[in-house]
Amino acid sequence: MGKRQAFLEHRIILFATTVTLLLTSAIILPFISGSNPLVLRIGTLILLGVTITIFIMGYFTILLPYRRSKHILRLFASGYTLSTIVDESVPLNKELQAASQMLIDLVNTDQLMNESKRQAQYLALQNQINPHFLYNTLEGIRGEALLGGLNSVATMTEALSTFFRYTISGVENLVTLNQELENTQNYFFIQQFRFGARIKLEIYFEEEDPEELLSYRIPKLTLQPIVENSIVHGLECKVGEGTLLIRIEHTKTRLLVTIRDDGVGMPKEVLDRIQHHLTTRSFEYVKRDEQEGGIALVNVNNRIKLLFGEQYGLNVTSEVGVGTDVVISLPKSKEERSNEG
Amino acid sequence: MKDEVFRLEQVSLPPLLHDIHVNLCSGEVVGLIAIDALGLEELLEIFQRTIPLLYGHIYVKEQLVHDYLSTRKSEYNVMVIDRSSTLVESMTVEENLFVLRKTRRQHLIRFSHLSQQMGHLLKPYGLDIPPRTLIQDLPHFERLVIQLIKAKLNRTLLVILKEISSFVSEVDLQRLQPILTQLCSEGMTFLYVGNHHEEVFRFASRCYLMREGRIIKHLLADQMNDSIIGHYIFEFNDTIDTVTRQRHYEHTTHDDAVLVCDHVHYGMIQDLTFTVGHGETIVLFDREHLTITDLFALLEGSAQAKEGSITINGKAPSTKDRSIVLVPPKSTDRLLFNQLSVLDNLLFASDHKVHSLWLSRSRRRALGAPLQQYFEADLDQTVPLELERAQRFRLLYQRILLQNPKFLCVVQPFTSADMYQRMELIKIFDELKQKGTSILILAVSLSDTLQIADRLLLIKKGKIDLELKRSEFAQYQGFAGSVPKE
Repeated sequence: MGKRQAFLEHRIILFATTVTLLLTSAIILPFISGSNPLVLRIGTLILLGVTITIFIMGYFTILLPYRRSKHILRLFASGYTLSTIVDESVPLNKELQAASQMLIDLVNTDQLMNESKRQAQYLALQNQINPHFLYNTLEGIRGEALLGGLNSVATMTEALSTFFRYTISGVENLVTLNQELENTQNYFFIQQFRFGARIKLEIYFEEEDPEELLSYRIPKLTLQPIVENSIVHGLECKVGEGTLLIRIEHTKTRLLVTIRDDGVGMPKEVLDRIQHHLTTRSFEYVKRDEQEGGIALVNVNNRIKLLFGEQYGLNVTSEVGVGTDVVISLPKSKEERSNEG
Repeated sequence: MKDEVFRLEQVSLPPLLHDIHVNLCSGEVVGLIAIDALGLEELLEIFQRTIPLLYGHIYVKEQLVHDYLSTRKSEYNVMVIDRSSTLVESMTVEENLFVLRKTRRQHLIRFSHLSQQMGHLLKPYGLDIPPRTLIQDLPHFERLVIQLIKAKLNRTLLVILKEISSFVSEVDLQRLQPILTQLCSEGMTFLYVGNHHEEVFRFASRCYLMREGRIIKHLLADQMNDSIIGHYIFEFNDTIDTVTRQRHYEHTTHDDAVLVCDHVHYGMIQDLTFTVGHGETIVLFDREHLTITDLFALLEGSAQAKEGSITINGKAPSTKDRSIVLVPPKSTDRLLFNQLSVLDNLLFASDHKVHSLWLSRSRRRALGAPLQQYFEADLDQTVPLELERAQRFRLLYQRILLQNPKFLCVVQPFTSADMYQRMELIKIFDELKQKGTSILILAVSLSDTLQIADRLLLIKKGKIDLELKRSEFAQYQGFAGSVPKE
């Protein structure tokens, strides 16, 4: 932080000493003032003024920072925030600050290993989708082959290989929205071999000229896992046609991508569980049963928050019979960088 | 690019608000429908001033202005327009618009100059107000527009329009639409808070649905329709569209007239003639909001008709008569007594039924015991002020049920009621009807009144213009409200 850290413990000691001195003075004052009432009055007034000032200062420099620290620790304990414990401007004492620092180091060590962890998450994610995905796709290829139409088999295989190439290489990179959308469309194209005209994808840009929007950079594999989630948990179970809408808009500082499906929607308890994982920071979600769904959402959310800060991430709403909306909030950036550590 | 004016990011204030994400942009009307009222007042307060949060960030013009660590107290430049006007009633329009401004530096007031300025300012919005008109002399709609113009002059970040159909008539709501469009094109932002999706959808370009302190859906323009919203209010539809309920309304006859309004002239009322039969429910719908106050005054007995007569059960109306109940607007504020316990409030109008009720605590307790199930707090140990809004509402109508009146007149009963309260009210009105109470509902917006009505009387220019029976209600599709299914 670079700013001077004044420890709360020192302030409390200083406060207690001053109050003791003031009280002592208050007791001694009548004796030393003797019979002169003017000295007594002036002395009492000064003492009163100093006492009030000390208490007001105590409120702002001790009580408020104490409450703030308490609030931060409570939020940290409940998983709401990781970063603010680092930013705590008035730690209680050196030891607690050292302990916080240790914790930060642990988190950082974690982040050093984060790449492998993230990779593990990606792999877990890919392991989750691959068997199903490959099985269904190969089923599609087989079906097509049986019918003898070689062109469609070739197209499908090409789409599949493009998808794998994009997914496996340079996962740590930030890519343009255009690249990410192309991959998502490619993924959707593969899925359409399974679902046919039952599912539709629409992409809507708030701007008439989307060139600017398409050049903003976002973490790789941000959209596709959510689209996959929408298809697998939303549209696949729906009777009849389903539509997936990707809506892209931007403000002065943020890029907003809404992925909306009109699938079966989530029951309240599933939504509550996902929302809990989205609002609190932990890796517990990776241990969960893969069949529960929503892992992709939490994974993307955690990556965005780690990369860009707590003010960005995912917001999910869902209703049975209506569908699911996922809003991804990202900073607007054209900067080319990798998301390592 | 969207010009974001206000953003709430993951705002949490348990147990009232949870993970609220809302963003409002310049030049749009955004709807907010609270399916239940939990957390709504707190959310609107967060839009107005900094209050301590458990978690969350608040951005104004994309700048962080408040978060969960901040202890600073400040207010945002946000105006709330609701039933209670923000204007000073005893001052002129010019003074309200130009003098009562934080930025005003001049100390000398030139009224002729201000009146001229006012004329120029009001002209594009179709208002023609004579100079030096007092706010108290203006109708509700013109007061509303003056507040909007004041918000524009003050460069207000956001205007919250809260349940305006409760005090602005349906005709005026139609007049309001182009004004809001015009103000939006000038860059103003509105949050339209209402209970009826028909009304909110008409004004808003997108809409947030709120339930149990959470934003449960962000409806974009293409989703703002009955079929989508039906999934969120199915409990309401299931409750009121039951076959037995509808049949009950279809198969009742109302022979004896309880209320007789015979060629009445008073104030804006011009030759008003109608009757309300025994056990009948009539909605008197004044789209122009001209006669409701006058008619209520006549029913209260606080005014006398210039011509014609009003009788209830053959007698002149009197508030002392225990067989008559009159429920004015803001009823819970006016008809509940905070110096009395909830139990005493419940039994307040039932002393004619039990001998020496006020002398016997045990009798009061015995009478109140079956009603304890409707309230969380101990009836004898709590005062109405300690109850939640929904519970105060319940208290008032349980009192009416106990009183068992022969005639009940209610002004805008569904105003400010969330879906669950409206369901409860409909049930209570059904019960009263079954007991044979004649009900007159005075309304400026239909809301759900048609669900409980046998007849609808439309008033135009002070007299009955159109009369519809229940089977004909579908012909009249109001601005905001539900119509019973055929």
